[in-house]
Amino acid sequence: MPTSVETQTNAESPQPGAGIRNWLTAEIPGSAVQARAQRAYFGWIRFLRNPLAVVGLSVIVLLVLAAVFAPWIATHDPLVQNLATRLQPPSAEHWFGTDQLGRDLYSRVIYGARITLYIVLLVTALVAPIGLLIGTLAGYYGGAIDVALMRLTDIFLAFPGLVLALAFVAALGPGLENAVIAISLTNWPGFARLARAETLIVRSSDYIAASRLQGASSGRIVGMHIVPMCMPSVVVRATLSMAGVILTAAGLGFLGLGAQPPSPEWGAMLSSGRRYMLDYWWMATFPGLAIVLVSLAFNLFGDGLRDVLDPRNE
Amino acid sequence: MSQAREAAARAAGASRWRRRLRWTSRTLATVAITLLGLLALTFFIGRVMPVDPVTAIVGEQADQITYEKVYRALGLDEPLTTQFAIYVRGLLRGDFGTAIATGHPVIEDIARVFPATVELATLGLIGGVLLGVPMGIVAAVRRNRLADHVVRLFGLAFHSVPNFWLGLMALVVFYAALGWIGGAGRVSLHYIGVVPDVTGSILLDAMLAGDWDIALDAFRHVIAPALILASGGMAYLSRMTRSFMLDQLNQEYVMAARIKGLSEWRVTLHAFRNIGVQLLTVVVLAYGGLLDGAVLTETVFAWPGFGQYLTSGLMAGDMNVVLTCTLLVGVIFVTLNLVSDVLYRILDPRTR
Amino acid sequence: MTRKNATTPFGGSIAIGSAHARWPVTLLLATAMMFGSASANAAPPKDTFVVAGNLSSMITLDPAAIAESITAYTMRSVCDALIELDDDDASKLVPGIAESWSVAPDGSTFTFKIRKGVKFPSGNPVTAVDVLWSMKRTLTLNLANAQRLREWDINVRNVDDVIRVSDPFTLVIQPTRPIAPGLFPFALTDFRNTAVLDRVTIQKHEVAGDMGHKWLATHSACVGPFRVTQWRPQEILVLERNDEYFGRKPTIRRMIIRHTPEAGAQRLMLEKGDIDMAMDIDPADFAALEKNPNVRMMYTPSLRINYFMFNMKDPRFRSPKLFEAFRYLIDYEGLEKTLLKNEARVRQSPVPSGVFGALPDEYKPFKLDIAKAKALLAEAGYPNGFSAELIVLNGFPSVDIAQHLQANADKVGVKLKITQMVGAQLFKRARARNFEIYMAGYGFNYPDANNVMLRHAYNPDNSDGAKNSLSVAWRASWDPGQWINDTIRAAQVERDQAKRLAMYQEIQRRHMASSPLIYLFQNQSVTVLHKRVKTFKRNLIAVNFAAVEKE
Repeated sequence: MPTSVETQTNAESPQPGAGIRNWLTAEIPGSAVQARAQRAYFGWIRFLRNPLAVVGLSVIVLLVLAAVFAPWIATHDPLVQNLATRLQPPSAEHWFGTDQLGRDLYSRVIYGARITLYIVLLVTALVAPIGLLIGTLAGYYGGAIDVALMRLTDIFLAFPGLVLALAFVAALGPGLENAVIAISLTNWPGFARLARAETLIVRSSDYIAASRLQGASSGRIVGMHIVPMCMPSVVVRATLSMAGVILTAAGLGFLGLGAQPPSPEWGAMLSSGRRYMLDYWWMATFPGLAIVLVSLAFNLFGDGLRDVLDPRNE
Repeated sequence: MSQAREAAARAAGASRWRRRLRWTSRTLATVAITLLGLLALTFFIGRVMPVDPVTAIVGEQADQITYEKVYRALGLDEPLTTQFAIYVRGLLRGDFGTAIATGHPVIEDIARVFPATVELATLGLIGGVLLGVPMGIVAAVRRNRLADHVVRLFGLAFHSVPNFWLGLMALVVFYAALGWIGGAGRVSLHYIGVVPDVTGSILLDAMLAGDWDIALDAFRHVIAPALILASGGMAYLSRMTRSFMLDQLNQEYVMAARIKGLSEWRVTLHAFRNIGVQLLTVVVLAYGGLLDGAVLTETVFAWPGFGQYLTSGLMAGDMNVVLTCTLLVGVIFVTLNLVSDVLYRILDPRTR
Repeated sequence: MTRKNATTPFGGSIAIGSAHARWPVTLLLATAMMFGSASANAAPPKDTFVVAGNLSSMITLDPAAIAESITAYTMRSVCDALIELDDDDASKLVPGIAESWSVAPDGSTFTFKIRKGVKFPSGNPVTAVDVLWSMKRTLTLNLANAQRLREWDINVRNVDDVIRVSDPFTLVIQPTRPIAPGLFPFALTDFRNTAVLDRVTIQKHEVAGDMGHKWLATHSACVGPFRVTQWRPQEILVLERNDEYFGRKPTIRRMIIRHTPEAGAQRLMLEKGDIDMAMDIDPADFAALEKNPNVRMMYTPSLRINYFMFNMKDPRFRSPKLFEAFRYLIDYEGLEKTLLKNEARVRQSPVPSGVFGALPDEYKPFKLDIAKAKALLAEAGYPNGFSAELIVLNGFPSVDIAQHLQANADKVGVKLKITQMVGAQLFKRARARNFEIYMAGYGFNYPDANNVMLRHAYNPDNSDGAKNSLSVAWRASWDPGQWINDTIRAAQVERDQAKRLAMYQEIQRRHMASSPLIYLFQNQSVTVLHKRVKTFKRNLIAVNFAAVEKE
């Protein structure tokens, strides 16, 4: 308590540096913008208190940096083969060693970050809006629409993820884009369920009733009031599901159904490295570690995010 | 007066029955619709698969005469709707078709391979519960302290590792290098078929027969894949246990108990007793997740179960196998969900 | 193994694990005490031969339908053929069910004397009637192996005229036209062409006129050194010695093949001594296994080749210059020495080494030459290259060779997009002429160039409607021209072996100068055994498990 009193008095003083801080920590926000900024700020502070989540976020930042600056970070061209230097153990020249065609594994793992990021972002971009739409519609309108949409999600949820993704990708044919589609098809029902549950809670609240009385259209209510309320849990869900997406993509790559050669997708690299793992350990180890690290990072980050964004968890 | 009370009780009983009946019929209808949807979806997937079942049967080097004969024999020259009708008619008679790879009715094959998966998944579940639940409790009790972070990290780490990678690593380290565990398969080759098949689990069969050598051998084979499956269950169960426990520990009765001077151990025990029902329903759901995890784990460990049967069917374009397996997994998932629901309704006093 | 692991971070990670985290040490020790004593109990007994193999493609044991090499490979020791190939030299014929045979000088009639006193495991005697019945059965069922007889113009309609039983122990084959005496008997050395099946037993198990096909999928009813006693698909195949066998009795009493899909697991089981033989050792593991004193490696040439082809239906792929350019885009020698070491040898002509009609082993006109490829490509009208999809059989070595080709093609401006797929998908695309560029392996059936030519060169009608989908030349939409088609037919009847050889060699030279089929490597069969296996016989075509001896 004393701290906040102090900050309030400080808020009067015109020091610019402390000003922002004070503005962010003021006990009574003066505007909606300030309130929102404060919420974000306190969330951020709480997030920082979770060391594991911070580690997760850092790894994700590193992943993004690696993907963006791959040509500068990589030491070699990830696709250039050299049969004379194949299957070399890690060394100063090849930090992670080389693969069966003499390609530099470190550079491949770095470029692989791009593919992983591509898959994760694309799946999320496809799945979150669809899930959100279906879930909010079902939750808001209820009745027959709800029943129909929820039966549809139930059908998809009735399959274990990998089995369904396998079946879909087998039907669509192998390839990175098809893998993304297959994973998305297995992923949206979770979002729909979540969004529906959130919608059911929000729907009966007074301010929704108020805006309905004011004559707001259903579309406007869903778009302006319900969807924003669902966002925090959807973001948490999306982050956590990214870890699962990475694993499923790797599993598909491992079975040869995901990204096609010579693409340095980690699962596919693991699949070719598996053949060599008994004698050339580095080939399966580094892509495997990359998968574990990034998947873990998304899990840790999502976990930390949940603590911040989802107050019911506390 | 007592008559009035009786009548009231009867009325309450009747309305309870009516409510139950309504719930049951609604649930059954839901399940039926879900299953029908499952069927249509799997059929659609199966028929647009580019893997050619005819080639899977006749190989690369059959001439056109043979190819066309087999194509017709599989009914592939019929329109898709007719094929679906034929398929559904077969299902209603309990005929799930014949597997290309084995020449047996798919349902017989599944009956043969399923016990191996059940054995693996059950042990995986037991391992997952034994590891995950205590971890979750510790994490909840020591919330936001080191133990909590360690458990969290541990759980998430296992949640983030690809099963197949872990399996390969386990084979390399514990079988190849250290020799502690058995290699691929359920028992060493020369022990196959020695003990009579009673339970479907070689481990149990050997124990029943009193053959401890074989039991130990079977144990050494099952331990690695079971633990790897358990790790997935552990991650999930520790997280759920932690959150259930936190709910309880924040309740007023816990506060009251602490004020009364109950030891922390007793308090924890008390709270744990209260999450039993929730935990049970979650465990039931976790079982379904283990079946999913079994798919790749079985491939790595050459475990002759359901997952291996499904993957090889998928690779060979064996549509009857893929359809029946996905359908079965779907049915199991729906059933487990239902069981979990029913358990919750029966056991939890609040929903009664 | 242990030594090697100590130098790798796998070993390293074990050490790190136990040094850093104290608490697992007790756990590990406890586990070690539980398991430690039991770790060396797995070696199979001396009279049992235990094999680990990937049996997922072992679909049926019916000789009329066996399409997969692994099944043929195993069932050869269960089902003897009319004539057999010598264990050590596949160019020599030795008696099988037929103790002798003779050929009319004009090649019009082939007479086989069936061994007397031979019994099926059921006790029924083997006669020429059984041989005829079995061959007719193959044609009637019209499954995978019917084409092996139709290749010689023997079909359901004419079989009774072509094959006759003149007495219970004499079988006479009179083909619709004469066939070279040096050629035809080789075509009968596979039990899938000339299975000798126990007709009486099989007819007892007939269901709805299937000639016992369903029953034979999981049983055996032939004569051979072994018989199938247990077959659980995708789990286990058990063969027991046939004590009634007329030939030399195997020293092995029981042979067990255990389904083990993971090649790495097979290797580990072999190194542990749990098994005597691993069927699917990965070439990546050859070098390490060579150094293992407990393991014996045998390399024998095989009838399997690696190739890729353009689809000439695509108007872009018509010029022989284009195909020639691609012949210069592979580092044959480099791959042979590295990626394919012990796995395959360079083979740029269609007929594999060791097969009658092959070009000399030294005949390797092509090598990696980017500049030349670029020049040829320009001549073909593609100075700036083009883009195309390359569909590839999944797994080693096709996917790796495809990536190698892709990298070199990139240097001459050709952008290849690789899509890998399973056989049952890939072969369908080839059959339907639905691809741009295609890469896979191909296994031939018997050691005579006639087989290669019929599959990879003969294509008398190149129209889509011909649907000659068995012919790879047709799949590639390649019209080889009248000379090649005629010469293949002529060689089939040429009785002078020297002339026949010259014909095949000339066909191959012309083939390589114009065809869209580009040959790369000939695979080797690699046998990986535990050192306790003393004798093991394998030739170009097959393994004789009856000859296995363990110490």
